[in-house]
Amino acid sequence: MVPAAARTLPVLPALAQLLPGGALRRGTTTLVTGAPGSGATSLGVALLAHASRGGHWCAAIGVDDPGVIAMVELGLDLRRVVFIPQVQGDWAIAAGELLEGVELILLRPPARVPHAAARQLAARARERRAALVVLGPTTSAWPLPVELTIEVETSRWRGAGLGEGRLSARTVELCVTGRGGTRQQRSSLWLPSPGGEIALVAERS
Amino acid sequence: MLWLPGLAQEGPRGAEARAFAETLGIVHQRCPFVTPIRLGVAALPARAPSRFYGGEGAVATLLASELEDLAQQSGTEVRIGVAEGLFASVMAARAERIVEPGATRAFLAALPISVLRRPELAALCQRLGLHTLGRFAALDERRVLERFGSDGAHCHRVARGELGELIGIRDPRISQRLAGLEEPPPSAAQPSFFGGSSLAAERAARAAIRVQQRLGSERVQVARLRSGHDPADRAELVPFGSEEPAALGAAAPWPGGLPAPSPVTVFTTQRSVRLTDAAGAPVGVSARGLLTGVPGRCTVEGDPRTMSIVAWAGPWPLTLRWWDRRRAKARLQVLTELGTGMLLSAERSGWQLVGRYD
Repeated sequence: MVPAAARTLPVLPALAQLLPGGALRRGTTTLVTGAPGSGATSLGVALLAHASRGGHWCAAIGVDDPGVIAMVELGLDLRRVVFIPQVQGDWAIAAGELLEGVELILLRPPARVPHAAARQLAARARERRAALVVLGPTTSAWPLPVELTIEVETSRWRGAGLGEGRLSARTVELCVTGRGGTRQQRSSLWLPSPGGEIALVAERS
Repeated sequence: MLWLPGLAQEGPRGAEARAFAETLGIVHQRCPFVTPIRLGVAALPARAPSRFYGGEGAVATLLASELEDLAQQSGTEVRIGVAEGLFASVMAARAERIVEPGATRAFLAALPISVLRRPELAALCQRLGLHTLGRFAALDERRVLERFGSDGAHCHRVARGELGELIGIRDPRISQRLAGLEEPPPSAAQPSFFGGSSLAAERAARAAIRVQQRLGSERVQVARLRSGHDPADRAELVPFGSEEPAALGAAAPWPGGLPAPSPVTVFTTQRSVRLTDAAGAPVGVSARGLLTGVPGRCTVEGDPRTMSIVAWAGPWPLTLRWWDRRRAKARLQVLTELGTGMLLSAERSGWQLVGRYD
């Protein structure tokens, strides 16, 4: 029996409720999709937060112009994250090398990902017992089937009016799908809530 | 290259590190550019001092005689060698050779495969009957990548003399360790980036360094926080390894800054934004810090779409400081019909996109 910590990487409690097994499985790829401005990047960063705080080493590859303050607000421990922005064609080299030493990679690959490069990286992640979180605009961003897909379908900001208030809270509608279209599940998530937390939106009856 | 085999292994009392630091001090007087590579190994640029002292052989003899006493005290021999590239230089020092420019590959070819310090690769090569770097170097590049992977391919390029530096030959913390000998030991509570003594930390740092070696050291970055008004001012990315651990502050409140949530994308390049009212008339910020119209539409440079604005907040005026390069007057949040939140800044030249709430 392998202990759970050896098989998984921890995520924030609200996100644990979205993921099968309540954690990111090591050796797997999770695809997070959504248009710019949808909250997909925030969600991807949030998936790293708990692991970074728990002492796991992370990398953000191809996440250009990272808003570091927002990442801290999302719970990321900056001391355990290296950034390789504007990586373009070198993303596979960067990710491949980093898998030798980090346990969790947030990757925004360029527009067209060669099948072979993706396969090689996924195999490396499996071998190194690391988790890949891939960010993309749509599910076609990654050419391989993945263990888990989280699609940000819609997002709604609250707090700003016509010259009043400020953008203070956001809800996103998510569709979480397992490998091969299994276990499809829809949820609604505060990203963040008015109190600044990441939490599931309570079911309305 | 200077090689002190007796100091290459660290003993329990740190005497080797101290002796090595002392050696470097002596060498430094003759060659100010001496750089420690790892315990017992230091690099010096050969050309300048050898021109001054009359040839590389003369420098080697001079250094050897100066280091003689110290070497005897600490029970090590002193070996000096010259070659092109860090790996070949270490090998040259080991063999006490001066390898002429252009002769590097031939010199490396005769060395045993074990000098690469890759036990698995060496074992596989032995099985294939490849006992020397020369035989390994003669293999086809693509086959090497297939059979030995990317690290094997890297070793292959080193063996061919195409790459000067073998990954793993440098101890990334040697300078820090030697510096630590002169100062009180750093407190364990000090936050250190990728630091600490854990194996995982060491592996992560090594992986980051490998990416730096392959893509350039500027490309691998870590974040540093500081106080400031703006998301763009409050954090910066600096190359990995250039960072002083203590400068990495924890998340602290930023006086005068916009409250959370902050934009998760903060643009480092300027992107102008055209902000108009519903009729298409430009909207700006008045001298008193108020909007000159009702925001209705916006277009971001580089994006052909014009988006309707469904909500906005601000403007929040900023205190203008004479040293402020951005010359920002105010901040404004806008929310488009697509649900995209953006943070704009009113500057002399017009609106700029500061960040996006991705």
